[in-house]
Amino acid sequence: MESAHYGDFLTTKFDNVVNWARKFSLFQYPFVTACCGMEYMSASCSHYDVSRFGAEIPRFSPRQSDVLWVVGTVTHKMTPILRNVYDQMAEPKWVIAFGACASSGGFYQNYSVLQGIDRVIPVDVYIAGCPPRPEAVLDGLMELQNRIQNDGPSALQGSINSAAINHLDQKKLQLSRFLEIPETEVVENAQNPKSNRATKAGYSYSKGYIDTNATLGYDTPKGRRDKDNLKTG
Amino acid sequence: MSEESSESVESIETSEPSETSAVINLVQQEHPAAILSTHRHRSDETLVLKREFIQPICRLLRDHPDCQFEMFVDLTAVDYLLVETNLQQTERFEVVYHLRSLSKDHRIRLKCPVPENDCQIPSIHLLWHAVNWYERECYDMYGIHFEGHPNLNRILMYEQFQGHPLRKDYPMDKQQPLLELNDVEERYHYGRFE
Repeated sequence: MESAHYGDFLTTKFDNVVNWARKFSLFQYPFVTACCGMEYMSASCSHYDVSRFGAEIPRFSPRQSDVLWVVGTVTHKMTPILRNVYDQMAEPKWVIAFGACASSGGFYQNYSVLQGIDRVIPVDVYIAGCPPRPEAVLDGLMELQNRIQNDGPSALQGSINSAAINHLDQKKLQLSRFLEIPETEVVENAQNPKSNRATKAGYSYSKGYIDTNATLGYDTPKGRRDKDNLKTG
Repeated sequence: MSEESSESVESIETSEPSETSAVINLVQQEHPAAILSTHRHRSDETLVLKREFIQPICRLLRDHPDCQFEMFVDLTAVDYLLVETNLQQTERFEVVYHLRSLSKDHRIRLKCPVPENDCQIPSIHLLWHAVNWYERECYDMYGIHFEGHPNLNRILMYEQFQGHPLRKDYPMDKQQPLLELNDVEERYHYGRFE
């Protein structure tokens, strides 16, 4: 928040204050349909505690809520109901797609499941996971809060948010210690072209052959000694 | 493998050749013309019946003191459209019922072949109340009509849905959305079977 101090007066942009108030007092409408509801409940309860972000109370009426949390699988039978609920919400409103099924249909690709709720309503934040960990839920909520602070309700949903991109770069930096994100997209698994399991045990993206680590399991000096004892003894 | 004829009963017993089931014997005595075949494997008994006899045989199984199948467990159907014909299956559909006796602690499975052009079978909803919704689901998914059912409407899919989705000739991916959907860019195409 930019501010200047002139004696007893503190000037700042009005939007900043209003967005700050909005992001820390989000009233949620939990549109819970499936198993992701369990993780939503556990993020709301005491251990992971979404209340410290101000997003504590679920209002079970769309007229009283700001954020529509679409939690779980949405079928085609449910789609008009979801659209109805979204239309009844008053501006400003935001939508969070919680879980794999709400983001893209999840592992259901059949006659009855809507392949992602962004086909019917505009979505602000997608939280991936099946189900997502509560920490991921809180991370998604924080990202929504950044969006509210920087863009506010007047931003077009779907536009590029620079603060979100910076946040993404920082997150990649933090996670690069743990994850190796492949440079090339894996289109076909060389071991079985019909398989849609792009990873199998022992298969490496970049090398293209089975990686046998001879010291796997024997990383400590004691382990290496044991391995040598097995050979000789 | 003995040949199957409509009068004699083919019975395959895989582990206890000297014992025959009391329930199967009773049904053979009461309705000899109804059974097409039976088989059992370690007290897992199956009766393949003609579909016209499903109501009297279920009533017998529920009420007779030797059977006492007071609990209805499951009702479903199988579509044999793409299956090779060495299973001795001549009709396209087969409706499968599972019954259980809590007092006598035994189970039985009943199978009734249903042809595709005359896709109906008598309803047994008067014997057990739970059969009502199971028959509606079977109708919704396979299109099998249950004669005598009071409310044979779709129960899982919506009314505007056309077709019966668990039939083998219904394409698995074919969606019938109720609203107009936005175009979404799809970058990955995992597991598309055509």
